[in-house]
Amino acid sequence: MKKIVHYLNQFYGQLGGEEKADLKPILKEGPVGPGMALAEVLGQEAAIAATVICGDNYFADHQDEALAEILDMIAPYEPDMVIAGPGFNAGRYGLACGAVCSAAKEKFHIPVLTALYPENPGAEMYHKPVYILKTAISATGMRKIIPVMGKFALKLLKGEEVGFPEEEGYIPQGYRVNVHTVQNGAERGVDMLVKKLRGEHFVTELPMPVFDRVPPAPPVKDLTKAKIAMVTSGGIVPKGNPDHIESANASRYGIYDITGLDDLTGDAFMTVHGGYDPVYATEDPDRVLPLDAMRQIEKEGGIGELYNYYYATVGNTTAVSSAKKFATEIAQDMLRKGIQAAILTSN
Amino acid sequence: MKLTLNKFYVKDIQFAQKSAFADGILYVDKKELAEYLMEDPNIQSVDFDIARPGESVRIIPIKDVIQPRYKQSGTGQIFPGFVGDVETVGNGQTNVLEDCCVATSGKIVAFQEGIIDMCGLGATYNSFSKMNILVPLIYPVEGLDKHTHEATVRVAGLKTAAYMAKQTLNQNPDASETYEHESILEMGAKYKDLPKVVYVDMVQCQGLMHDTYVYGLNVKGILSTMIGPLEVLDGAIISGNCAAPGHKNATIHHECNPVIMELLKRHGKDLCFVGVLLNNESAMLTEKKRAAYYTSNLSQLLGADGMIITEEGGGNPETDLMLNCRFHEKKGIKTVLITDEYCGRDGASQGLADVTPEADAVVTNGNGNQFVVLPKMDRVIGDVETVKIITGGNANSIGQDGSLSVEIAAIMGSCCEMGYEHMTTRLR
Amino acid sequence: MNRKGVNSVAVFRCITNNPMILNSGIPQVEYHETDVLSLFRLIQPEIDKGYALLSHPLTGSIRPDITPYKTVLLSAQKAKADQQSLQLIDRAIRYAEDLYSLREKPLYLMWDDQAKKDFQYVDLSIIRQAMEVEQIR
Repeated sequence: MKKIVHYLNQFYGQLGGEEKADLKPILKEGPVGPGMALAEVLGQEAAIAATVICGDNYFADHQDEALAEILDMIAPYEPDMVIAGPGFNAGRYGLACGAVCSAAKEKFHIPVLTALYPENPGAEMYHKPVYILKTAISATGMRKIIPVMGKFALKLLKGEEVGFPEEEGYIPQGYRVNVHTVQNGAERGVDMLVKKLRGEHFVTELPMPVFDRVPPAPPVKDLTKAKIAMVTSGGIVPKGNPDHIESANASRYGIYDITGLDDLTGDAFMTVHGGYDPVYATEDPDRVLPLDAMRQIEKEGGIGELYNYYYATVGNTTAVSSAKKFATEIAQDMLRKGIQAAILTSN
Repeated sequence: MKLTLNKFYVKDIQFAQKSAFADGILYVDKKELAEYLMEDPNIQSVDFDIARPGESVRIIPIKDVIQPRYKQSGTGQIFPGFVGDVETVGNGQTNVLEDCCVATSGKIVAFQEGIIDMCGLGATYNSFSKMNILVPLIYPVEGLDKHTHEATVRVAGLKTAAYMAKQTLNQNPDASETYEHESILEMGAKYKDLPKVVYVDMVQCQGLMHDTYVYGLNVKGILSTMIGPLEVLDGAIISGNCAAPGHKNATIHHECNPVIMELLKRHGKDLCFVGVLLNNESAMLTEKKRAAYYTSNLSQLLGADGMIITEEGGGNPETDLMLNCRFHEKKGIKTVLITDEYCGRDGASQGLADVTPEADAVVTNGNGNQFVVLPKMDRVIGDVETVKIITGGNANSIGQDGSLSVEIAAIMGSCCEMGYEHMTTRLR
Repeated sequence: MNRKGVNSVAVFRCITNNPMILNSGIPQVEYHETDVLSLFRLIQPEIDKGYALLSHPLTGSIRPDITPYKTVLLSAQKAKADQQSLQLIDRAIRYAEDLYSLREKPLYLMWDDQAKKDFQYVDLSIIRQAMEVEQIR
């Protein structure tokens, strides 16, 4: 009987909701929550020996320690496989599922598996090293995904040949492999053209890379008269992080007052970005959000005026859809405030 | 126009006192063939070898692969401009040796390459391994410059192929296939309701080892033009490309152009095959743009609804491919591109040298970067020395057991961009 | 584009790492002793400055990780940075980078002197043919 260790967050681990998101990893014997349904599908061929449960916030804010603790909890079981989730579209959970699987695969050299909604940042980040089965956007998809997870897990456990994404239901990992075909390339080409001409559905064999075409705005006519604003995805926020912007996979942005300030200091400002070593930004936040330089230029007349507020969020594994949403809202606000150009810094 | 291909299936090739074709066996009189080839004073000496399907034989390096054809009747003769005169071909009857080809070997440049393995893993990557192959080994006179050397070997290969097929003259073929291709005005009236499809055959013309010939003319500097599909089947288009074995269009690919064959098959059924446009692939950007604009203009003049576009080579020809795609799609003419890719060992890199968002319908013939381990062969025909360095192979990659780790790009025709082979790439 | 569609005698810049180009009679040669990918990286800022590509940076049937040599023609005059040139050099760099990482030691480093000479010769032939067709000297 093959042994599996299952990873869940505080919610699916039945320990609580958001209020328990700071839970450190705990270990429970046997399956918990969705693990029970999964165990049924696995039947006699594999068992969930243990479940590791960890709070989403704890994991997000202490990834290295959390992973070390989790792997230490898994190790004694000598599992044949680690499964995480399903995480659907929960961003922090999805990232944790991917990270746990990836780390377990690297450390124990065993098959790993999770299941996420394709737009989950965890899917974007971990689909290459980890098999991630596609789920619906919310937990209403639980019924459907559990049997798929179980079957696929057994396949991986038995070392059976894994089919293509269309057949197995996992998010394409990004590796193109040669396969022999019945029709030659010319026959397939003519078939494709006839379908295209008829307006019928066809599938290209070689998709083009996604083109994100953004026409650039016309240049500022006279910078010396222009009102400029600063935006950062580098996570510089007032000390205390009043808006609780997350250190990863941010769900919000803030607008902060810098009226009368020539310089950012570590007393009044901080960084909450979880993707870089904070030491230098804490010493001098101007390094990420160059207020000092901008004020200098403003004083010298290089720009007309620096807007007295700046916009901030955290770009660390933040979903593209979230970033698009923030950007649209920020741009609208800028237009209302008569801002003509912005300086965007990351990290 | 009407052309009949008379097919003669070759079961074996054997050297004999007298050349003949009988009971599926092609007998080759080496002496007579050598004399014929050595009418070219640039050839010092020739030798021949035979490779049969299933034998533990590797042919390397290979310059060109040609299918033996010879005109039984009709105007002109096979390979016009080289074997035949420049007279128009593509009508009457042409005899074809099936399951057979000529593979010219010999180093024109020190980095010459191209492998055909007759058995083992390598044999699964092209159709040539299932053919009976005659290999002429052409030794040029001393001091020949490279351009002349290349031309010498090129013509010698064509002459060999013609000589072989000539042995079938006046015999009854094993099978026959007749192709009809009306004039454009006729088919326009006849097939009013069928979508009009034009095939753009992009031909490389960039310099030594990167050239293509049409009726004997090097296509450098030509404006995009039209050619009858049946003319192509009579060898009107010849390869002068001796690099990139994995995806160059060898002469056999032109003769058997699979896109033309498929379009002829479906002509009058679910499409109207209007014709073939030639678009040259130059190294200069203005040329590329001019060619693509001009081709799209011809397509419009022809009333095309859709295009199949094939390329030759990788790297800059991908720009020609994308320009043609974009200019046609902008004119409302739908396109399908047929190409191959180099997406890295693991297939995770972006495989094309150029892209365009309009290219929404693309056929791929495989990832040339895939590595394979080829077993040692008992016999090597050609130049053993070359095994030292070829695409993917080097002296260090010859294993203890004599096996060779190479990219499939080194295997002749493995990713042929006309779609001659049966391979694609799928995303995992 | 400094030629305005007229096939007149044009002046160009010839950027190359092929020593055979130096004695070939081709004028305006800027020779760099480096590999093909580095040559592309040298060319990129020139394109940013406004020199347009006249020839494509990639060869048709020889990969940039296989040949040690490449010659690229740029316009002699600067103009507004050419969109197509910007895209092509960027894509050529990516293509070459991916192919260079195929092996620990890319193939272009493995050739002996005879092979190197032959690669130089083919590159020269390609540039000569390109110039001949475009009627530029």
